Amino acid sequence: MDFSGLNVAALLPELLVSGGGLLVMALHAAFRGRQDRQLVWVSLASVVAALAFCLNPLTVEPGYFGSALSDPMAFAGRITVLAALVLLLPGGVAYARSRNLPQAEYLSLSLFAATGMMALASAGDLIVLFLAVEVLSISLYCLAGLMGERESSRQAALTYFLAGSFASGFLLFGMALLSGSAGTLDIAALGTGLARVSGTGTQWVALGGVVLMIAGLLFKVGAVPFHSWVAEVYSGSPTVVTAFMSTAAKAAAFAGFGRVLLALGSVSEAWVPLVGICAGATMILGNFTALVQGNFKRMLAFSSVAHAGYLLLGLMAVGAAGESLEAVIFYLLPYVLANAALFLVAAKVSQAGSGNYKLDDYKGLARRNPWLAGLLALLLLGLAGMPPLAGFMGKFMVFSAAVRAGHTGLAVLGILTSVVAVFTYLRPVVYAWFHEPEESGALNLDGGLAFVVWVAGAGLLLLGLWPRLWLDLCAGIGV
Amino acid sequence: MELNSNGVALAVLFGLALALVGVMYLAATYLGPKKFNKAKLQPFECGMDPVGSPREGGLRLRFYVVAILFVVFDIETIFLYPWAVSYSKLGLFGLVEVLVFLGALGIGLFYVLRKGVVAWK
Amino acid sequence: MSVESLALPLALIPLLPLLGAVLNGLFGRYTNARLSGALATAAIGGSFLVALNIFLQFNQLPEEGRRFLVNYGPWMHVGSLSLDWSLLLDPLSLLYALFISGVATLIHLYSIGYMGKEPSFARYFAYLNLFSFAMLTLVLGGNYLVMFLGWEGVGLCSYLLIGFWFSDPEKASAGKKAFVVNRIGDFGFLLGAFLLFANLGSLDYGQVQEGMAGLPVGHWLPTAAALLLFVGATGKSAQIPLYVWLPDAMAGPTPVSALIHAATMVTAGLYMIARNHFLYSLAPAALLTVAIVGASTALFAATIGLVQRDIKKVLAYSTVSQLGYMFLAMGVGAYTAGLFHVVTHAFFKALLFLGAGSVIHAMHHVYHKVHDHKRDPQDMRNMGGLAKRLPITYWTFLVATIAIAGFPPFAGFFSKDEILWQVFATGHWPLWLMGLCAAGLTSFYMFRLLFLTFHGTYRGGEAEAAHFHENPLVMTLPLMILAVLSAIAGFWGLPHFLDFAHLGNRFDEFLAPVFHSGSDLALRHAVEAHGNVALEWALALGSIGVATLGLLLARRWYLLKPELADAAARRHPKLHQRLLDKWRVDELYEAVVVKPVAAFSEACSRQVDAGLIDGAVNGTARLAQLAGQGVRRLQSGRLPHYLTAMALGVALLLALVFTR
Repeated sequence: MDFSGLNVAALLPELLVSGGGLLVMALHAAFRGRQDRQLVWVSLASVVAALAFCLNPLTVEPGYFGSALSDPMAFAGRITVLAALVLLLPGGVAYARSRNLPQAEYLSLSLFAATGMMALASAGDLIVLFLAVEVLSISLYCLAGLMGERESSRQAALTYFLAGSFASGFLLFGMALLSGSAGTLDIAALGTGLARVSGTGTQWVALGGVVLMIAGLLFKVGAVPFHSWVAEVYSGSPTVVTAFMSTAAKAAAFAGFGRVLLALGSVSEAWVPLVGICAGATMILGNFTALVQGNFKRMLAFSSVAHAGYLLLGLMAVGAAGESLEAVIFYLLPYVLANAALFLVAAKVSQAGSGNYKLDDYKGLARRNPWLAGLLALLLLGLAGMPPLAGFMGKFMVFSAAVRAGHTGLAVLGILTSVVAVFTYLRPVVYAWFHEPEESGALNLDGGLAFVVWVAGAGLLLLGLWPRLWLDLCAGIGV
Repeated sequence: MELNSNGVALAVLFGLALALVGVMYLAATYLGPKKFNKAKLQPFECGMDPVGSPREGGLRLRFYVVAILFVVFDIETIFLYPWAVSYSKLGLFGLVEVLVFLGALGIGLFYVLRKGVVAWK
Repeated sequence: MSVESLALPLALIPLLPLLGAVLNGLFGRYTNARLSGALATAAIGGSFLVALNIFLQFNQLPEEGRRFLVNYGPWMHVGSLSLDWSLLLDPLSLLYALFISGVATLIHLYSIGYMGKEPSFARYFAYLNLFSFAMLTLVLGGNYLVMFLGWEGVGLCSYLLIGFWFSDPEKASAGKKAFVVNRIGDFGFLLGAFLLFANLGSLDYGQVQEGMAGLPVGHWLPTAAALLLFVGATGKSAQIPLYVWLPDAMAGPTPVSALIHAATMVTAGLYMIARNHFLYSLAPAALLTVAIVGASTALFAATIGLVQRDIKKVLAYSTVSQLGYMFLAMGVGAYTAGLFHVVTHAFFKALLFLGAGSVIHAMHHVYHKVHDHKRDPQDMRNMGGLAKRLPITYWTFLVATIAIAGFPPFAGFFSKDEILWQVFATGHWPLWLMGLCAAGLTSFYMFRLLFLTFHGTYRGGEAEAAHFHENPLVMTLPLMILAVLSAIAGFWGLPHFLDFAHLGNRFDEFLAPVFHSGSDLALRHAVEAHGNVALEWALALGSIGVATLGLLLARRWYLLKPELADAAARRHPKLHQRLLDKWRVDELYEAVVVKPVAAFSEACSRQVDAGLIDGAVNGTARLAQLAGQGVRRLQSGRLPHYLTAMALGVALLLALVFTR
């Protein structure tokens, strides 16, 4: 057998992260949980090592016979997932410790999920894609139920598991039909495979496969009409897990989704209207539902549904000739930074207040901690897409890609719903700055959370002022 | 609306599959005789009279965990068979891959043992 | 010197004060005023040293090599818009950077003494440094947008510093007024920049200049752009009709008035016109507008300055009037003459303000000693005879007064006279006459101020006067340095007819590479054609004569026979009241602009906002809630419903594809 196409180095980031997860498990078992406080360092070390390998790739050749790629999309996906981990793990461990959740399991499952996410972003063939989806999903099911004593957490885990398995069924069935009719498992070759069968009866089988696969992926990104699980799972899961789901998992799912749609460019007239309808419905429903939430966590959950709509708009654009995933790649990073930080802030503010994520907890935050209130405003405005923050550039790129691809109507809808989003995001800001606090006393951040919030805020500003930085990095390192 | 013959065939296939399921489900509901008595409505509990609510007792979670462990090692065997058959072809690469796989499972087993999952209490 | 070797030092000029602002803003409150002020002074002083170093190297370069565009990377590339973070170094920007950082260093130093007892000193120094950063960015920016960044930045800092004592509602609203009036001007600036971009596809100075090169004189594009940009200049540089914010801006601390509202920020409009000279030279109509506005402002503001009683208000109107001179120069195409006055004015007006600050500081101190908080320490009617008590302040103030009044050989004479000469020589004699009258008025009100403040006897009584003592060295040192500069800076731009030693007009030569492009040259030739040494002498003697008249009248009215001034006021009560009321322009604006706008806003807020928009928003919210109720049937928390919804979704998608 010829192993010249093996190239293990291409998989090093995934191997490092999964190895870190195994090591955490083993150490936890070996020390019988007595050294759990140190495990977060082990995890972070593996993440940082993986980041170093991503930034400094030994090779840009695909690995494992073409099933693991390292193109800009893969690079962006991996970096985004790892960045989310760096931001979330320290805060997550503190959260787990303060609520008596198993830390070692939190860490190792997060690392396993991250492995799946990274593999999803860099998957070169359908089997790896499916395995990656399953690895990340199963880890997340367990993470969702980590707070097992609380009914909402159990319910979230079960809902997520059953709905996820259901969707995985569609995904797998779709893949089977698709690869069967195209005669290949290689994602990049799907397009030519489908072109070969166009006009024959097999075309219809392939089309069914495309639809089912897209349905499965739409579920994974939480788009309408497959979004019903989102609110319950996001609000029931431990907040740090929700943060992870809504950032890294979503970014990875979009990376995989984008890769599949890019390959299906030759049958774009079949799926573009589908994705378009879902994108439009997602933007409308997500934004309006987020608007009426009185609960910060649910508001963020629905806002992440809304963002899925904008990202779908960016994905749609690749149906047109000559369009790349650039807009989607760019959109994801600031979205992930802002959301990760906001969920952690939500956990902190809620813990200091009502304990159940009421928006009222934000009243008068500016009096209690002006820096936090300022950064909260920055992050929320970043999500809303205010210039000069990166969220604006992301939306701008997505909308202009949609216009270039001829979806002007949807782009206009996107802009209109963004206005609704501004209302949503401004509500906590107004509470924080223009209302009297219900509780007095300063609300101090610990070092880890302060780090996360500052890094996220600075990232939003930097990416907004200098968007090419990230895009050029992706284009320069991933080839 | 434009459907070619293969499309129609596919639709017919889907339709037939759905119809079959529906017919059998409905038939069982409507055709089956329904005569209930106290014994029939009781939950099946090895012939003994059930005590208390089923929600309280239930099955111990440990059954599931052991069952899952069984499935895990079952799957391990399924992986090992084809590897063993084509061992000479896969050579060193195959050996390394399988050792990695076994190592990961081994860590899992170690974790499970230390957590006291199989220590039946 | 190359673009590469220049990149770091050039960036340091604006970045050092920014660093100072950040440090003071974050950590300043943990230190004391001295340390915080020293840090701020060191930051801006560093900028000055870097600029000076560049200047020394610059002089050794050949004339045509004195232009460097340093690009620090892309800012945004959207469609056809391509903008970079770039800085431009040429004699014009270097001149501005030098005098801004130099004067700012002195004023920072002075502030250590002046603001020493201020509790929020860190905020003050952070703002002051931030202002320096924005101002240096404005003048060094390589394209219109970087310039606009600085333009907005100085506006913001001006607002923050005018309202520095924001707990006083009057001061806070003065800040607001400055901000709002400036916004009107900024709007013009932006429109001008957009117009250029829409027609030329670029916002880079060089490319805009190239795009303009082929256009005939009087073409609509340069005319419209020049006029719109000039609207921006009238806002920032306090010209008619947007000058009203500057007198109110005196609510800020006095060093701020010296730095922002006399020496630097208010000359940003002049910089902008000089930077766009190629535009204005193609637009005679715009130039004439600039000249007329400048001359009118110079005369108009001077009349108001005649009767003001607040020492800072007199200086404020004097600043507006002097800025008018500079615009007058620009308007007749005498860019270098205008810029020369910018520089000399920066020296002597900063000195006047700092001197006034020194007086106010001392008055404050005395009132504090005698526990009097009712009297106004800025009202000249409470002063008098301070020359003996504050000798350094007096002598330096005297130098500045002579300089601004236009007596040779002090700086103001050379720069002002150059302007008047160029105005006359280009054939704008009515404007020249207005300028000459304003010069006489200037001399009068400045000596009135000097006599009322420093001469005669102290009007608060001998006992109180004993409490006066001269301010510390940290405040008087900047005064002395500025006094030397005010006295000798004129020799940098020695006019031709006084150049007995054949030194040459070094200022003119320094700026030559900027302005010696085709159409500017034509204007110069026009001046030289009219030129006539005898006429030049005559005009110079004329303006000295007018200044002397002003001096003598002020001496008679306010020093020798004070009752004469009151008598004059009683003889023309209406005129006097009008002048005191500043021609009631504020009231006019209030009635014509502010009230209607406020009424319109009020109507909007009540009808449109509360009725229409809130209605729509609440309506959508209610609709969404109703829809939510509907969706909630599916969002029941029951899994089978979720799964059914998903299956239905898949069926829907399949149907969509297969029925097409």
